[in-house]
Amino acid sequence: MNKRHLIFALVFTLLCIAGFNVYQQTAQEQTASTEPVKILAAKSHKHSASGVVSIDVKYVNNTLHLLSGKIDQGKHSLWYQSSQDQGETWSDPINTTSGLDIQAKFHRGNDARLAVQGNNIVAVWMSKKEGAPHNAGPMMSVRSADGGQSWQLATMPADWDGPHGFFAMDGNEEQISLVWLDSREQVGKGSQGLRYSNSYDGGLTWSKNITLDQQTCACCWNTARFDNSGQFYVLYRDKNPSDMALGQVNQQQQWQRLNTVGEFNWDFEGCPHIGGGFAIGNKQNQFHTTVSTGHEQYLGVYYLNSIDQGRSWSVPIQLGESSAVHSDLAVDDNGNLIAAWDFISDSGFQVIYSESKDQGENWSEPQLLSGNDKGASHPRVIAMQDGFLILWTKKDVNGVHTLRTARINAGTAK
Amino acid sequence: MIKRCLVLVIALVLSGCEKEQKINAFVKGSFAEIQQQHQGKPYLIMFWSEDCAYCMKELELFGALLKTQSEFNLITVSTDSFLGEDKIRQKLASFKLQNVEAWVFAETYVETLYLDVDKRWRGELPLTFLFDSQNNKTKKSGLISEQVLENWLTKIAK
Repeated sequence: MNKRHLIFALVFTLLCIAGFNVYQQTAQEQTASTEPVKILAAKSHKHSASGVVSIDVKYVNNTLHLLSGKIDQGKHSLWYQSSQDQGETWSDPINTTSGLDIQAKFHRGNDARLAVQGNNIVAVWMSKKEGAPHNAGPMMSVRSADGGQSWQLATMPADWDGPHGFFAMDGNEEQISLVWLDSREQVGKGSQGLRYSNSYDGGLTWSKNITLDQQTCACCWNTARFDNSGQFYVLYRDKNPSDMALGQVNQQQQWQRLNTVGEFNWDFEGCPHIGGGFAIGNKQNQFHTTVSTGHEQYLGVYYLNSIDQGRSWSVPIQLGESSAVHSDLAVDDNGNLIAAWDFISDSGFQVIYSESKDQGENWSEPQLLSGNDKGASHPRVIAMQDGFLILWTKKDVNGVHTLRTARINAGTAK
Repeated sequence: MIKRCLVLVIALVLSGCEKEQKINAFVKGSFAEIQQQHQGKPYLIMFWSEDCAYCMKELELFGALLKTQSEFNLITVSTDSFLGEDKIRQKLASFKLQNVEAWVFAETYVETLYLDVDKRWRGELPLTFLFDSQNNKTKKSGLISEQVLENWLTKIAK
């Protein structure tokens, strides 16, 4: 046998081995499919999100300001609209990120946020950074100085260039304050810290960042509000245990953690992805919250209030069943409360609401808002001059998310 | 030239021999079927997401454990229905878990799978179920501790 024959024989043998391997692999798969366990779905599992995947809303001086984060053919954008008639009609949407190539990482539960200070409106969101842990990037910001008519890329409020997320932001006549989570100084496994910055010039410049809490839940949304005297309150999920907590940044920029909100003692090393709702009654100066816990014994959403600015809290009242997950609430000038939450049904998330006319002592029977919609989740509630607006997103079978709204007049729930 | 051809042929053949990790579609009923398939031998089913830092730590723990322990099977389920199969393979391979059984959520309304797996699960991660050879189930919500794992391994070794 000459050298050429030898090579031919070797190649032939290797190809036979390869062919046998392919046959064996196919045979194994066929065998597996005839066993009691079958692979149910042969089609691609991948569900890409599109449509409105992020919302935030503020009601300032009788104007509703809405920020919608959208994905269209894989491209992210942020749109601003306003309403002068309490959500009956909306202005034409304005693309706040027009001309900008934003790789955003917003979704319900880690929404882009906006705040209003006079004619200044600021929006922030998490950017997407391929290859980074969780593909999470630094925050990005745009601002408008003309009431939302035109928008420009703005200074990043954070003075650390790592990933930031789970923003909460509010504004009053003097300033805009922002909190978020980042891991610039890691304390403990998988946790992040709660950071703060504020701006007195409508988002042109931002203060040096302050750490409010070194160790918080890494993946739960925060909620923040100014009260009438300029104190900035933050509702966030703490660590050890993973119960919700309320803290305050006073006018001297000093932080104080006021108390735990709902002492369930939920000891959880993981990612709940659930924050809470927080509202301040204008006349009564009473604080109202909805919080959620995953504690096996107390699973669900609860309402609590405080009459001493967050230092002590009422006994939790459960809203809905243990399947309730994401919640929000608002209080109007007359002290009427609306709480809305989603719950998991056999067909997916659905949104319901309940009303209290007595400062949270008693709650009406929950009313279904989402009707036949599936994947209806993460409701937001806004108290307006006349009634309430509830916003949520729903998802169709193709993964397209749509914004839904409902006007609720106080006193209509049974 | 001949040598180069040979090297190329051998490389092609060897790459053909390596089996790609199959990513199964996790739909309603899959949880029960996995249990049916694995009964009689201890196994773990772990639910994870790429956005969950604790999940990464737990996958790392399992990757290290499987180097020295072979008494049980690990089944991983990604809850990221939007994640491509290659990304799931890459993520698992980064923890040396390229040979474990892998699944990914494949329902449009993934929350319906939470109910299907456990009536009291609302999506918190990581979530791990430990099964012994008699199919007795232990649920662990949140990062599993090495102590819990060691206790379970001791139990199944008896």
